[in-house]
Order: sequence, then C-alpha cells, then structure tokens
Amino acid sequence: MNLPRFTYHSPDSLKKCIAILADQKNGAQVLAGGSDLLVRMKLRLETPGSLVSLADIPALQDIAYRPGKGLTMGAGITLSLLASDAIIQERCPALADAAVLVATNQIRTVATVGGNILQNTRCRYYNRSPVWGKAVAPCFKRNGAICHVVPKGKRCFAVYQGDLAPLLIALNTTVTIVSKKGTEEIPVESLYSGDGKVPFNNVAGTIATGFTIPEDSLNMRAAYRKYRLRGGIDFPLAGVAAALKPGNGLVEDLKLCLTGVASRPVTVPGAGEAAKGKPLSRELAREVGRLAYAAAHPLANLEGDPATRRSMIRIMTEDILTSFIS
Amino acid sequence: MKRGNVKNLEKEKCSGKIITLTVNGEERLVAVEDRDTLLDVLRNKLSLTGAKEGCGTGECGSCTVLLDGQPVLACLMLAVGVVGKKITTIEGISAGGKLSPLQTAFIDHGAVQCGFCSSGMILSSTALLSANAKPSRQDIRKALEGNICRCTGYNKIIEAIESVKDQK
Repeated sequence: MNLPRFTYHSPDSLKKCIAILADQKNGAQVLAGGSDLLVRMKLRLETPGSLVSLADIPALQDIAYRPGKGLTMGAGITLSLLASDAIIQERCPALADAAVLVATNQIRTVATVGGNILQNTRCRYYNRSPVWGKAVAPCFKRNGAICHVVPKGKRCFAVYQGDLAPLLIALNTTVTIVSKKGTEEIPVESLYSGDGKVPFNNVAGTIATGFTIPEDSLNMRAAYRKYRLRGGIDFPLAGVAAALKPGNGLVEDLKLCLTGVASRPVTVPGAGEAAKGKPLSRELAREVGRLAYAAAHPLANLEGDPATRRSMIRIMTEDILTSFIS
Repeated sequence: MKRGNVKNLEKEKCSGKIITLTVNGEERLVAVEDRDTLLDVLRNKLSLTGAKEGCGTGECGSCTVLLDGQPVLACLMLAVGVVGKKITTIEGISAGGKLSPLQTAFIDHGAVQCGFCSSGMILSSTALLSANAKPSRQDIRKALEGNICRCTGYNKIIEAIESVKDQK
C-alpha cells in the first residue's frame, strides 16, 4: 500500500521546525512516530504536502524529575521508553503501566507520547480504505454532511481512543506548546475540542514539546484500566483512569477521566465531591462507578456493543477504586 | 560498501534522493522517494523479501524488522527516516546461511504453517530473547501481541520459543 507523495523535512531544532511549519502552504503536518498519521495517509484520509519529522530534535527526548516542580517528559519519547524508564517507574508507575497497554510492541518502539496524546479520533465510517469508503455517503469527517452514527446529528461523533490522555488529565498534567508566537503551558484537557472532525483546539503551526505532571499529583494513587476485544493491539473501546489523593484514612481528592466514549477524554463530573472526606470503601467505589457510568455515552461507531462498553466503564471504575482499598 | 544494487542508479527515474541504509551489517545505497516505506525499499529495491506486506497499516506484524535491535513495522517506517540506524531483516539473522537456533526451533516444532507470519514472529522473539533470556510464557505472548498468525499456530510458535529459552 503506497503512501501519497509528500516532501519530507527533518529539522534538527524546534526553531527550524516551527519555521518550516509556518512556511508551508500545502498543508504541512508534524510527523512523530507515524503509527497514526501514516496509516491515515495510506488510506488517503489525509494527504499533506509536507511532513516535518520531529525525530532529530533532541529537546523532545528528555525525562526528568525536579523536586517541587514534578515530572517532565519530552513529547518525543517513545512509549517503549515510557514503559521502561526508571524515573517514570519510580515516580509515576501508573503511566508506565498504561504505556504497556498501548497497541503492540512494534508500534510502542516508534510511537511517541506526544503522538499518542494528539492522535486523531476514530470511527468505523471514517477509518476505511478508499474502496470501502465508497460504500457509504461521505460523513462529516470525510467532508460530507451526514453522520451515519447519529443520523440527525449536526456534528461528527468520531471517538477519541488515546490511552495516555485520561491518565495525564486525571493527574492534572500540563502540556508545553511552542509556536511562532512563543511558548505556553496549558492543561492537557484544554487541547481537546470535543468535535470528532477537528478534535484539537488551535494546533496548526504548533508543536507540543513536553508534558509536566505536578509534584502534588505524583503523590496520588493512580491507575488506568482498558477494555478491548483482544488482549493486545486494540484501541480502547472504553478506558478509565483514576487519581486519588488519600489523607488520614479518608479520600482527600479524586479525579476520574474516561476514554473511548466520546470525541474527547471525559472528566467525570462530581467524582471528587462524592468521594471527598469519605473512607475508601466498596460502597464508595460503587457510588463513583455509577457517576462514571452516567458520564459515559458511547455510540455504535466502534467494534463492540455500546451498552457493554458503558457497563465496562462502571466495572473498571469500581475495580480501580477497590484495588486502591488494598 | 555493496554497490551491486546501484549499478544503474544514475539512470533510474526517481524524483527522490540517494540514501545509505545499513541493512544486515552492510551499507546499501538506494534511490528512494520521500514516500517510500522501509518495506518498499527492502522488498523492491534490495530484494530482501523475507519481510512481508500483510495489512500495510500496522496491524498484522508480518513486516516486522529490527531497528537498532528493537522490533518495528517496516510498512510504517519511512526509508528516509531510518538513515544511520541498523536494520536487521530475517535474512540477516542466519549468519553464513546457517539458521539461528530460533529458526531451527520453529522448524523442529512445526511452528511454520503457511509461513507468512514466520519472519515477523522470529524477529519479534529474537528481540525478546536478546532482552530477556528466560522469558515467561506470558512475556512471550506479550512480545508477540503485534504478530498475527492467521493459521492460528500460536501454541507451536510459543513452544518453539520456549525450547530455545530452555537451551540457554
């Protein structure tokens, strides 16, 4: 299967990279590991005129822990490294565990943290070859005017299926964005627009260079659970990340974030308030599980039954919180 | 440097560039376009057809090769992006025409049916065994999660890998 033609750039500094992105008029795209973008290009879902590789930019490859500031990770580190790095395993083992659940060994060798966070949304009516694409009328994401999943829908409902984003959001992580205008640090959750067609806010011409998990969050108990049909390869059909701050035998704070159930990672409203000041118990796990269930609205746009996926959100939430008891 | 493959390089119609790839310990000059994947180059320009194209979209693992000793999917790697890295294909692990212990074990255990996935399976498990000489059955299954065998010969494949592990 051939890729469409494009011009390849491999700048060795961020400055050059930003300049190339600003210069290109024929739709330059940033290329990290390529395991998401190159597949969509092969299916002719995207045909950028230029690809700007981040592989030769050393500034994106750091992992460091600074007391008081927290854990910083370059956006270019691979998921294999994320899973095996000693600093990550010591300071945020849940993140290393979540990285192992992504895709396959071969893909984790090249796929990056930044690429995983900024992966495109997916839908069974969008992620098709050109031939299979002809079987249905073009949907919103294919520049049409219809949604096959929600026939009366006014927008695209393609699903965000990243594994790392819910965990990073539960841990209050920030992302550093560099553009021609300068550098800014914003919460990871503000990257997402909620629209399946254009899932990210204002990313054109910008580079996500790194992620910072604040010191406070590193002291939280965190975990991620993933539901998929096969034990390997698959994207999450539903996923739950939880970060819990214990204090004097009671829950001081709790943040839950879901993936695979909407066009963006979904923070469960009311979870923190429901748990605050209560002892961690099976009853509390069930109560929070119900809140997570209420926040999840999966649609029939992926493999698997939406009702099962929604139930799995509740089951996995209860499972994580129950595991925290012991 | 082996130059046999670039005999007619000057005449070759190619809008791209000439790069040097280190494949199985040899430096090979090839003319590529930016859009050529590593798999395109290995199979079509270097005649190394051990890596197969199954799905072409990163799901089956039949194009697995080693990049600096780590398994990657050649169908999703740009050839221009792997300059300077050591590429090992299935042809490169049988030194001097002698099969590696893992290859021999695959034959001995009947772990080859149609054979389409075998090169990917062997390279993934070669990477596993070089990182972990005594992997558990679970480690083996995890290492092979990205390699699909449509003949469903997984048990024989895992037994073959375990037999090599036991020899170490």
